[in-house]
Amino acid sequence: MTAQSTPEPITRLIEAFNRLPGVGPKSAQRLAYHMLRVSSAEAEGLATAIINVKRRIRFCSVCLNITEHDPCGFCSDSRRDPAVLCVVEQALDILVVERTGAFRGRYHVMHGALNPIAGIGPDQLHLRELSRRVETGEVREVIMATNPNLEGEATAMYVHRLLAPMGVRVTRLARGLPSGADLEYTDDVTLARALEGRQELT
Amino acid sequence: MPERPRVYRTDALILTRGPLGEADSVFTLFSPEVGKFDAVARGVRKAQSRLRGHLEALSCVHVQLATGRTFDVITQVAPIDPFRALRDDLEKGALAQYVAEVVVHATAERHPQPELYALAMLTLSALAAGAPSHVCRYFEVHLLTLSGYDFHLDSCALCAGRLPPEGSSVAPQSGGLTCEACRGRGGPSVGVSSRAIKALRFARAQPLPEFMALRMDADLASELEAVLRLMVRQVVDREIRSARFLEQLRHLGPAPVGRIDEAQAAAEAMEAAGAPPGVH
Ligand SMILES: [Zn+2]
Ligand SMILES: [Zn+2]
Repeated sequence: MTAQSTPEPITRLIEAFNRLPGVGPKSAQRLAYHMLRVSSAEAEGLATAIINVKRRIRFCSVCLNITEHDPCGFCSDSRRDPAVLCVVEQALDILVVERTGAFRGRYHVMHGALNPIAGIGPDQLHLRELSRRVETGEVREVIMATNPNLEGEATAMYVHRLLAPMGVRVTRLARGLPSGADLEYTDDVTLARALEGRQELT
Repeated sequence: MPERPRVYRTDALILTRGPLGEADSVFTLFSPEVGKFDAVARGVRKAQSRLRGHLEALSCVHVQLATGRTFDVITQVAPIDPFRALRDDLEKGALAQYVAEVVVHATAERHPQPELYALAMLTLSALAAGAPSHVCRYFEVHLLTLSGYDFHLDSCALCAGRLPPEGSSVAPQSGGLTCEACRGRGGPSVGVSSRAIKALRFARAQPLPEFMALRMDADLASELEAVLRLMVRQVVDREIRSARFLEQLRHLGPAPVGRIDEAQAAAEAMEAAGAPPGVH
């Protein structure tokens, strides 16, 4: 089927789906034709859900988490320690940290990681907001929970350099072996890091 | 065009890495035999992936690929040099990314440039081994030559006349240095000191170790950087984004003593919960 023979509204929907992360032209086409088959109520439900997300969800003015109420639930929870900040690349990562149940401090969402080639520099990462939070003197430790890749590591080092003069302690997650991984299948970089961060057996 | 083999192997420098779909990554590879090309690795963002640790931007690997319709697919990988030092140091990493970005823009898809590959490897190896940042100037001077840009350093690029001994001006659009009489006739130009000109000639004529041994004060280093930035811009016809980050790094304070402490307890708790970071 050529683009010319496809009605224009469908073409537009296909294009919209195609712009979504992880959706290629084939999947976009499949999704668009699926929408033709569903009931009007279902289609409108999806459209409304998307519009509501855009209308009602905003960034927390303190930590830049996505939230319906500002400040967000973490920032307004007095039981959470304001002296320890966990800095994450994206709001989704908060859920990963929360799942451990091991963290009782607060968060800061950068909405990205340093990637100079892609044009993502320090100015794009909400670090000014982070600096301001640290400047209040309320923060004792900043934990960089960035991804263990080039961008994440560079971001952790950059923030360390940025905040260290303010007298705050900056830490990062230990680079252990991924749980369940076989030593045989572990790459040497990960293994070297695991060795560096090794602990006494008690 | 002959049909490409279904499976092939090559050495490659990983220039960039980007996410693709749920758990895949797309890489821009630079191979001496193939040139620059994109390839995907399936599931490589999952912690269990066997390919994971070796496939990182700025590392050199030996890969096996299967020819695909849109992208070739990386099926096996063995490390050649992971250039770890480039990952552990912010400045080195930023300089290496600058080199990688220039290579991305100075190359055409699937057009082998073994000499440029060798130059990029030489530069990254030197950076990883602790070479000062002016190793990038050596890279730029030779990149110009390998890109077919004839950088006139010995006579006027416009009239072939003699250059004034006390310094000159460089006009990227007209091919290099220009004499006093031709100044302004060959498009925009900037002044360049005689010692910077000597350093440029030296970089072109001498092997890297000789150039690295050159004593370079801050003024000369920044003059050479500015001149070569213009020349590279002329050749790749765009701004190199990483250059901006290098400038931002200069405004940041010096590296604090020691490495960042590791928040060991938090990481362990997260792994115990079966949620290693970076799995998304
Ligand atoms: Zn918040
Ligand atoms: Zn002239």
